[in-house]
Amino acid sequence: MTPILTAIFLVLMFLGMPVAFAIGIAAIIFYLFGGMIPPAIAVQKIVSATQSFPLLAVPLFVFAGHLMNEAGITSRLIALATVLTGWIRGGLAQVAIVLSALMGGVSGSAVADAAMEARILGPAMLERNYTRGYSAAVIAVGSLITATIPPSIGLILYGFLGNVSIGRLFVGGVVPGILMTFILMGTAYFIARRRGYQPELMEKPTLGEVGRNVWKSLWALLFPIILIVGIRYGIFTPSEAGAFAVAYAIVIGALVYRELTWQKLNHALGQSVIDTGMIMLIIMFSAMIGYIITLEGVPQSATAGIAALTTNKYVTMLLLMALITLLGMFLESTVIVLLLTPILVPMVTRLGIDPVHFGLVMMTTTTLGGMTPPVGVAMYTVCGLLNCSIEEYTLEALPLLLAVIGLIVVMVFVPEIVLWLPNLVF
Amino acid sequence: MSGTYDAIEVFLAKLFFAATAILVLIGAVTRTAGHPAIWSVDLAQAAFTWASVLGADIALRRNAHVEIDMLVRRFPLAARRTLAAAWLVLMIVFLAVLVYYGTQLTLLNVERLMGDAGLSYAWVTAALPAGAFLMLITTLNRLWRGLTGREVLSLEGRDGTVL
Repeated sequence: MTPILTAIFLVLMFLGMPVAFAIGIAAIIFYLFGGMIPPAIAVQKIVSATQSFPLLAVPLFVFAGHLMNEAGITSRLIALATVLTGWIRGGLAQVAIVLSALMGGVSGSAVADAAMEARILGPAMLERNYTRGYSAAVIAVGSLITATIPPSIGLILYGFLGNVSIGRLFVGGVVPGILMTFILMGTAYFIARRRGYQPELMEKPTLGEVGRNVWKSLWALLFPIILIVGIRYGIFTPSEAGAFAVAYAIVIGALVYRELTWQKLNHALGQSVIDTGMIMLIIMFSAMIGYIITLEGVPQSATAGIAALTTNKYVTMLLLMALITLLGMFLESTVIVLLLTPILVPMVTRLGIDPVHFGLVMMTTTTLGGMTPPVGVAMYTVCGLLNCSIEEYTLEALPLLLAVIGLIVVMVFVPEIVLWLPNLVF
Repeated sequence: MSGTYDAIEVFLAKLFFAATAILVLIGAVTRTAGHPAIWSVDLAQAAFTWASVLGADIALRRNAHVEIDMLVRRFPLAARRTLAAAWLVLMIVFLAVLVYYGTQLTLLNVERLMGDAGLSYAWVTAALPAGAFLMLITTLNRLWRGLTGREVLSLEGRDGTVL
């Protein structure tokens, strides 16, 4: 039955049916005509998918992300990023990369970060004669850092679906996120040297200037620390942390920075409702598939299939990442996480791979799929805003994408990059 | 008329969404204070279910659901129109099935109480047939307006995500 189901799903999806409905319709056919499970179970699965406390972290962090953007936190982080890296060769590219890292601590979405940077930094980069393709590429690929440094919506989804500690996943993202920042900065430095892109500031900032800007952004910089300490000491669960993040953004934005108005709050709420409706419909409908997958023993047969190829953990992971990279070129990241996590986590756990290690490697690869052509949401968003063709983007993104893929391969072979900090903290 | 309908739905969705955040916060604060308000968790999940289905329908009306148009974009206009009509019909049938079985499920759950809130679990399950019904209206409306030439018949989605 599963092959027919897969075929129906793929045909519907690639012929333009909204993905949530392609999943739902393929699944309901199984329940209605498969003769194995009554359709009443299907609706039960849809409803029970929403009844999960850990899942509440997703809408809450989406909301918090929209709020932080409206709360005046972003503009302060831009000032800090400029002071910190503006003096390095390829100044604005460096600023964009460091800004993604700083945003990473308050926001969990690569696409939101990419859209913000394309609007604010993009025009400035074009003015300084950076090519369209390069500006778009630095902003889009750089936003991967935002999705890696905690909080991260992708990691929440992975933890929820694979039953993995979201706290450990969050902490596991810290070192890879920082490494990614330095690797992308290094790549941007070499490109700037070859092309003669100038620094943004004439001289290095004084300690006082850095201090003043750190002070102004203090509330944003403190947030990820509060988040991790809070989860570590059981002060709040990841979902409660999401509610706390919402309250934090409102208090900072309305009382400390005094930039958050009712109108902006309402706007952030409206955006979050639509974002959440979109993700939740996919989650609800794919819950029907999740049941079929378990019933038909898909994880077991997938494990057997991989075991026939190789028993080596590292080779397995590399094969899976190659598969996800390939899927990521055509499928949307959320869809990949929702469909593959329930199959892959039991499988890799059985092979002796730490699910936190695998989660970071998998989510980095999956999110990178949003930055690779021909289909990629972060890429579309940035290229749309900067008026840049996909061909131009692809050419210029290549060195940055290769740098990130290099890091992913290193992460596969050196689990400590991911696991060192969570093992230390927990 | 349709403006008011949309405004009411958006208002309710925001209300449920905000309630979810506030209830989770209440749960966290009371737990830290040593007097956990357990009902807040059940109510938060119930509010979120309603926020989700209303949000899904609003997203459908705004064409905000993810879809892959890589191939379809290259089709001639007539083929795209036919395909969009066919998919809308398929979605309508699917949503009707959900309304039917969702209503049955809700009727079965009237007696069942939610963990600690003392509310009937039917309040949660009712969100599914209600949401499916709203989406049914949205898709029917789009198909009708498309076939009568009042709007371009297409599924034009955005490639949206939050990851």
